[in-house]
Amino acid sequence: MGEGFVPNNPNPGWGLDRPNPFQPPTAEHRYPPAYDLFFPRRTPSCPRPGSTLQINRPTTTPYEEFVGLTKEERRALPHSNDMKIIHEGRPDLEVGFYQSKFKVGDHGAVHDLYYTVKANGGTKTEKTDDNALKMMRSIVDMPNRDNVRWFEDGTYQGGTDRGFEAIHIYDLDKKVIAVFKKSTGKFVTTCELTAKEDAELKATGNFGGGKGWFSGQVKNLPPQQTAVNKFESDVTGITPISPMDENSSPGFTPTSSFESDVMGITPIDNSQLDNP
Amino acid sequence: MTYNQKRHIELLKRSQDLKNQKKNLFIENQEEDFELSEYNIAVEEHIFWQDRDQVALLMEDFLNKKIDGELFCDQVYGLRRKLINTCEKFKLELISSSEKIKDFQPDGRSKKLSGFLTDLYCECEYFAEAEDYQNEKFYDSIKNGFLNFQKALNKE
Repeated sequence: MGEGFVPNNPNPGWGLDRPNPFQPPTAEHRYPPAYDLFFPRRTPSCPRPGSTLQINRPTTTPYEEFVGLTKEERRALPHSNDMKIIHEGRPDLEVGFYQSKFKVGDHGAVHDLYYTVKANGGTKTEKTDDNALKMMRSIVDMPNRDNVRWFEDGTYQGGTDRGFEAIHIYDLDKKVIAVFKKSTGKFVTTCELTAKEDAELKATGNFGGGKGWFSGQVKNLPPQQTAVNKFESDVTGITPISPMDENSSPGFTPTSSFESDVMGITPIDNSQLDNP
Repeated sequence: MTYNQKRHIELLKRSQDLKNQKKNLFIENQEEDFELSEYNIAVEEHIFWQDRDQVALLMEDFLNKKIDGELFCDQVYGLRRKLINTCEKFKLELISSSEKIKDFQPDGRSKKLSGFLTDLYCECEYFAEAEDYQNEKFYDSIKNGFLNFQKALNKE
């Protein structure tokens, strides 16, 4: 397996909003890093996962309309490679090419596509048209697998302000789900579920969210709970566990030897976290 | 739920037998499938509990702006993949009655972080998906999650 996947990370962080005249964007390491102290590198816009996806304007969509679309809306635009799932007695669903290409990088492996294992344990499949099409075919074929369950009245991230009604196709053997938005029938995402997610899906038809760990997911959260102050003072104001400095440790019981003793896995260290 | 290793192994073997016959325990016997799920979840939560310092460090790195949102999410996907793989290996060890995990009992404290990784994963999925979910909002949400994570760890 390939190792040492080095993501090209053009975003150095927040707050670096001044241009560095010595640092052309096309030559990241042309000048010594010390220059960045005085003239930090600048990213013209903050890149997001999937931001490089090339989406062409369909001839049926006027230019003015196209430029006003969000990235999510653009990924939902029709493409000649779009596929349909037509299964007797089930609602028709659509697996869009753009959305699939957007998702294939992180989720292609669960559809048996070629992948590399990154240093952090994650998988990466190349975001090519061919791989997107292979993943689409795999999803379209899911209803024909041996032990598949449909959840026609499901939800995705139910109980959160971003939740929506969904149709799930779930491979019980592989624990692989394909999520479709019920209102449009369009493919949203696919992944392999953990044991807890598997149990929740079977019991409630919901996949993901709703446990209230994160403020971004909670419905009708009072404003004071989301107020942003200084991170360090917020943390220390509650139960200080560790100083937020470079050499900090989490401050609670360190990982026991369970993985190394039982599973033969060595937990990763800080340097690996910093440089996946 | 009291973890019963003997019963867990029994159900895992039954599930595997059915799989070999192209059947599935959930379809054949939902009660047993539910029982198996409970044991699988106990193992999964135990393993995640063992990884809690790694999760905390990752969130600290993001909150201290040592890594950006994209890299953070990438690491979260890696953690999730690692958790799924480790659980699978553990179940294989159980089925093979490995001496190494004889008398295994999940750590009772591991319930404290129940559902955390799924919520974290969903945060990252949404961050990647939604244009209106800006860096600041994402940062606030992870910060909030980190505080809840710490509170849970400190709870008796």
